[in-house]
Amino acid sequence: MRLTRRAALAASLLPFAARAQGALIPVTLAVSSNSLAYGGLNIATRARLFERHGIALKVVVMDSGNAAISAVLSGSIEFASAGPGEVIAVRLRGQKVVIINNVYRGLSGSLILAKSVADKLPAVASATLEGKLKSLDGLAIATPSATSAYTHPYKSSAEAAGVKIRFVYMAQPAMAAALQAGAIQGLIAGAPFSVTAVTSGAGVLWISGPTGELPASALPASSACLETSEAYAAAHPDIIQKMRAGFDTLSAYLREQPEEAMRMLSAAYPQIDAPTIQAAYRNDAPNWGRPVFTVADIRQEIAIQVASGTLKGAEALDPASLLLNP
Amino acid sequence: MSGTAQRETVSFWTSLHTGKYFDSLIQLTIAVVTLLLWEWGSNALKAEFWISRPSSVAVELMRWARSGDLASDLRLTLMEAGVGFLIGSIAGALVGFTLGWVERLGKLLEPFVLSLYTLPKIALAPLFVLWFGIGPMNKIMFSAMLVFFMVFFTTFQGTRQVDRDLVANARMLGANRWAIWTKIAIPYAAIWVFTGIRIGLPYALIGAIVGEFVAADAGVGFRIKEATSFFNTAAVFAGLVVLMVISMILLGLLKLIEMRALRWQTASGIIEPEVTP
Repeated sequence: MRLTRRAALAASLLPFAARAQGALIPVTLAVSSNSLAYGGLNIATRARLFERHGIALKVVVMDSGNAAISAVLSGSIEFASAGPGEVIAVRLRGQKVVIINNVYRGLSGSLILAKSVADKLPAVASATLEGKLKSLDGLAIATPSATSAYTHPYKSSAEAAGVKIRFVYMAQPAMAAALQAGAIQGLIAGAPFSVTAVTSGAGVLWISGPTGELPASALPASSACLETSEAYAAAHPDIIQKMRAGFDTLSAYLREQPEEAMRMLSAAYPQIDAPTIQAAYRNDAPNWGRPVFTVADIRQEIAIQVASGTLKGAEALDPASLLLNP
Repeated sequence: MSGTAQRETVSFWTSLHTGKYFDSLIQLTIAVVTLLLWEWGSNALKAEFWISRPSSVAVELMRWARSGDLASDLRLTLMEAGVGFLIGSIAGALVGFTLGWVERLGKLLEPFVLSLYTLPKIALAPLFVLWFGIGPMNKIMFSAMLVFFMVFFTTFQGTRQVDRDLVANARMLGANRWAIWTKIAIPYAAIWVFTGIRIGLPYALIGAIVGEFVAADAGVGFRIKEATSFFNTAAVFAGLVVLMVISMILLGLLKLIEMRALRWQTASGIIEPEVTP
């Protein structure tokens, strides 16, 4: 009994002890949304994995990746997480933002089609990817922004199939309600926003991002990566190292303690039911646990941006210059 | 120099100094100097990413115009703001006049209208998507709501200040309700209605732009948001310049309408007596 009390006392004093030693460095990271692309990051903060490396990480959810990167450029926060497309866009404007590591490998956003639209389509339309893409012609599909990692894979795949989608830019949390109200005919979002649209009965999963339904040439290497300004990275190499170590610890944690990680994920997304959390974990955990970002990855990102015609002049960028210590 | 010539020169300079042309010249100089300072400052401080520069903004405006999108975006945003402005103004003037005129009704409903007025209405924008979709109706209704409150409050206050003794005297002299409305109440409230309309006009544009920010696939607000995605500061400023020009033109038009509609009133709002020939 006495031992338990002592243990409880020690546990309660631990944060104060850490603070007294000045061990934790406060760091703020702005993320582009609260989608499950950041599920791994949320697990890491809940499990205090960054604290193990002396980082007190505060995560701020923004409206878009551009807003997150703008916050870094303003100097008010240290790190941002957005798609590589946003980094390419800001580099094209001469701003020195660099990618540190991956946060979500591959495409986390799925395309959800309004049930009312899907019901009217012939069965053959949903049989093949080409049929699915062709059925999107002229439809108003919501996506977070023009440079979002979710936009260009669908845009370039649709254009390759001779189809033009009418993109509507909207924050992910607003999409499901807009679909339900009939304001849009489809949406591209990560879970839980895509899941909400399906479980509400308003939409059907039309093209899945995480399962790699789109052609490999259109798939991004990353939906979200960790970024900072070149100046900050040069001035604080120790903090960069600690952040990278935190993501490495997350990989190990996801591998070694999946039950605990799933519990943390449930706590981070209380609005999602247990079966959906389990399914999301199965799909997404491998993508959260691969923090390495290579020059080949950024080369692929640039190639996709050039192919989709979204970011003109991207081919002139040196891929290695976009990565911190590639 | 002869005395006459000297007098002519003096009168020319006096008229230039005191006339409206001189003010216009000063205004033009301020505008040009500001633009030059902006251009120079942006270059000198290497701050084009942050504040852009007038020449880049002009290039973006040309590119926008040449693509054909400027005309269609303007048409859409103006239509949304215009229809919203009309709906909001008419509804605001009617409700404001009714509640201001019928004292008991005004007292009863004032707290409710006040509480609605104090709502931060921008926060309602996502709900408008839910109620009216992402099409023009969403922006029209949002603009109308913003304009409504501006016109409503000024009309309400103006109608309440109608001289009740004058109304009582008119009644005693045999004026019917229609005559009291058309000869006293409406003319008295008109100047207040126009004040509300003038204040409400920029809000109509704000409503349309906010609506386009939240969800749209065309319009000036949509282009500004799209430019933000690409960190294209010059294009954002180009959008703002377009909005500023629209606002100025509309305010000018409104001033003309107001001058024609209220020419029977003095600047202080006193009704001029009818002049009998």
